[in-house]
Amino acid sequence: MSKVKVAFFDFACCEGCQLQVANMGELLIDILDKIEIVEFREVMSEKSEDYDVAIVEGSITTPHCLERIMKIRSIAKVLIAYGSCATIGGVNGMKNQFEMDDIARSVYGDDAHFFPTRPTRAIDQVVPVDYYVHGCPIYLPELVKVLTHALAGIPYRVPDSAVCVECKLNENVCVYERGVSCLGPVTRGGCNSWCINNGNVCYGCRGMVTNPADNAQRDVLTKYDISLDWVENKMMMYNKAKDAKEA
Amino acid sequence: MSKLYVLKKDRLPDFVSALSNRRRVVAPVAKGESSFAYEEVTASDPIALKHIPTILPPKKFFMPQVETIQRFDMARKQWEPVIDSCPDTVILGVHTCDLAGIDCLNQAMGSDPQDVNYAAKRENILLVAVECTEYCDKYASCAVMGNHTTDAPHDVMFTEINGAYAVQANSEAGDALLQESGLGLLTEAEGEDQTRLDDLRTQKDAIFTPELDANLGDLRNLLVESFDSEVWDDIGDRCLSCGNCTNVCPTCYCFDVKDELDLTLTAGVRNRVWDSCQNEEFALVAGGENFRKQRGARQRHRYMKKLNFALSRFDRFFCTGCGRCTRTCMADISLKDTLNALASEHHASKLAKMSPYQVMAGTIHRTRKMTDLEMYFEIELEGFDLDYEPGQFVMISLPGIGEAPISISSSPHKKGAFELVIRKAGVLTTALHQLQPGATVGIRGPYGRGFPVKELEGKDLVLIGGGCGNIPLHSLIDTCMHEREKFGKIDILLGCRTPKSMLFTDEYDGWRSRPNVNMAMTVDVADEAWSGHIGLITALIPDLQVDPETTHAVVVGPPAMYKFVIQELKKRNIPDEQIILSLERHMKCGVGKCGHCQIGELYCCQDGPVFSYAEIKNKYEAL
Repeated sequence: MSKVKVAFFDFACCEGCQLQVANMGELLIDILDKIEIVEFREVMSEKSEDYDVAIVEGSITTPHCLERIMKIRSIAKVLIAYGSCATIGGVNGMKNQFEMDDIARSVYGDDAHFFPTRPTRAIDQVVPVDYYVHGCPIYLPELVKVLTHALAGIPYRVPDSAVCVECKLNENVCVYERGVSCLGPVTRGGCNSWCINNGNVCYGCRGMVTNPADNAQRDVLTKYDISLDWVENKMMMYNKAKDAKEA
Repeated sequence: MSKLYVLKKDRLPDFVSALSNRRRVVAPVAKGESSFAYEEVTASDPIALKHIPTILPPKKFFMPQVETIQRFDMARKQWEPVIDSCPDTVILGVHTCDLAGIDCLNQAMGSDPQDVNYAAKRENILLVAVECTEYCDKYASCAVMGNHTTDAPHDVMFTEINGAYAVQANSEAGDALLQESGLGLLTEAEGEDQTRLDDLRTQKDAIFTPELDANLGDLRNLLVESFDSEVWDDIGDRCLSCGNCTNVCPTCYCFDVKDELDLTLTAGVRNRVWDSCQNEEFALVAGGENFRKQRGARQRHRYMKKLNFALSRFDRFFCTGCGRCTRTCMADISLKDTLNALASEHHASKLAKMSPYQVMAGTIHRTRKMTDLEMYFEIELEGFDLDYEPGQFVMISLPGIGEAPISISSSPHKKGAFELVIRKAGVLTTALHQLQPGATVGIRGPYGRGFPVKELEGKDLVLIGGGCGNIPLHSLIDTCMHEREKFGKIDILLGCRTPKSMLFTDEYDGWRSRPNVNMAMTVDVADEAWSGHIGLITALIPDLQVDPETTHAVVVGPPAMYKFVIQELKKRNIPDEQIILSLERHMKCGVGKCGHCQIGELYCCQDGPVFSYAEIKNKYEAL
């Protein structure tokens, strides 16, 4: 059986997710047993327009990006969006709070007209996506799982329960007890709470659960004397893109 | 009964060392500021034998959070069960509530067909328990569940007595463990050690008291009848579905089954992972129907599972009273509060369906003669708290003789029983004075509009009590003293006929000693010992320092007193709305029907007995 051809692409992003893949170490060897990477800018110079699976990082922010992703979608049989920028718009989404002209001018000054910009969109806001690997950066074990599912032709279901579930399974002391706020309660899990396992808080990078308990969350914040504004600010970091109106 | 041994506290590390020669030893260690978790320990690790329940219960050793139960390889058309055991383990420091939890799981996982993965670990785990001699914290409800002591299986029990541990095996394996690891460390207990242990256990019955308003026997019925209660909606609003409550529960065993293919794409494992009925998708079926979509419904299900369904399946409650679910809940959803709210609602709905004339039985706990005419009664209703506000009254009955309204003198912060002070004035009250503790009286109520405590918060108060007006006033004074910080300056003016007719005298010093509390007293007729004021209570008012803006006056006394006291208060410019009165009238029903207590169009029993002067100053015959 010939190996599945896989190509990696990136759009507006920090390339951190690609770096995670490049840093996989031994696991990469097992994966390379099953797939043939035909394009991956981060690690090789070869390119290809013949691939079965496209693994895409980054958000769509310019007309040129839009053209590129549509072409990729037309070639690939399977499209995997990985990293928050690709799956939910990520930090790039913060741009959407502003008028495009204003923000372009603020960044580029008088040269703004050289850099046409559109409201940030997650990949699935412009083309159909078959698999999602959430996170900023991705949690490598999840990427391997998703890839395995994709290769086997099985859908991958992202858990719709809060990060708190995994965090408690890992027997962490809840960071709220330390008077710090954490977006775990409204963020979907699947990352094994790895940020909290390592002493940090949850930044909500995987996106919100489908049914967040807004009122309850507000009560909790009041209880711990954390202002709602501050938390909404934190939420904005990753979860703003989907507010974008059609450009 | 196995021999009782003693282990000195400073020898515990040696004991752990001996244990760990042959076994993995896990014990609670401190984590964060106030949490504990079971971890593998060696002799030199700081073990916290005294701990509040751990973040995750011991179930994680019997049934790991993630466990492979099956391996498959489709290339070879093979399925293979995976039954992981665990190393020989001693869990040291298990509370009695957790022993009960393990016992529940043993039952659930042992039910036909037996869960062999669970059994494989269970047979390698020994339990060295630690008995709690006091409450871990306010979240526990072990006593009502009967788990502050236990007859659940365990191998050794440690009990702290006087700087050492009393150690006793509870099984053959426990005996063997002590023989093997206790050599040179354990000394045989003396007779007095056994006595101390017995005393301690007797004391426990006084320390650990039922933590719920409802009886254990009523809980199941309560849940069944409360299925549609709004309490669940309220909880649903507050719940985040974070799953913490179920993850930390010692008796939760619901799990998800997830297959994981490896990169061969034909082989992999099937894992069992802890799941939670609180998760959004737990009850979701293909096609999109979700049988428990609402958060309130999911929480209700959890309570039902532990306190109702478990009885049907396993003939026991599955709540151990360890308090973990409440302790860990970010939204402060409390097991005790929820059950109490259901009980109170249930009771209220029962009351609402009752006839307003239905008499409830109360038992007299204590009586005390206070003065020649007045007697103190402590009364408790059968099965529930009276749930009253200061200033309300009850109708007290003696069958065959009659019924009369009596003001409640205690403050509602006193739980369980309530207090009445009754003046001997007629046939009924004379008969009441003859009663001994243990006697039954009939109680209806509480009735009436009480003192506006919330409006009085933050204000300066002038509390004026004349004669037996001091009785209902006492309820308010006691409330203010109990939450002193909620009120401003308090001036208490008390008037009585003679020094011997003064009431609650043993409390005066206590009141006076509180910050910013002044007291002045007067009598009509003094005795030799009296050095205080003689004369009308109105004479005490001019001396008061009052700020008309912040001062509220509360006046309770004989009918004649009101006009004159109000006059004096008006001279000090206190607004009509800030003068609070409690009026007295003849009452036969207490529920605004019999007509006796009418003042204008108002019923003293329902619209009062507490009124503001503004409300009644223009009513005929009010004062």
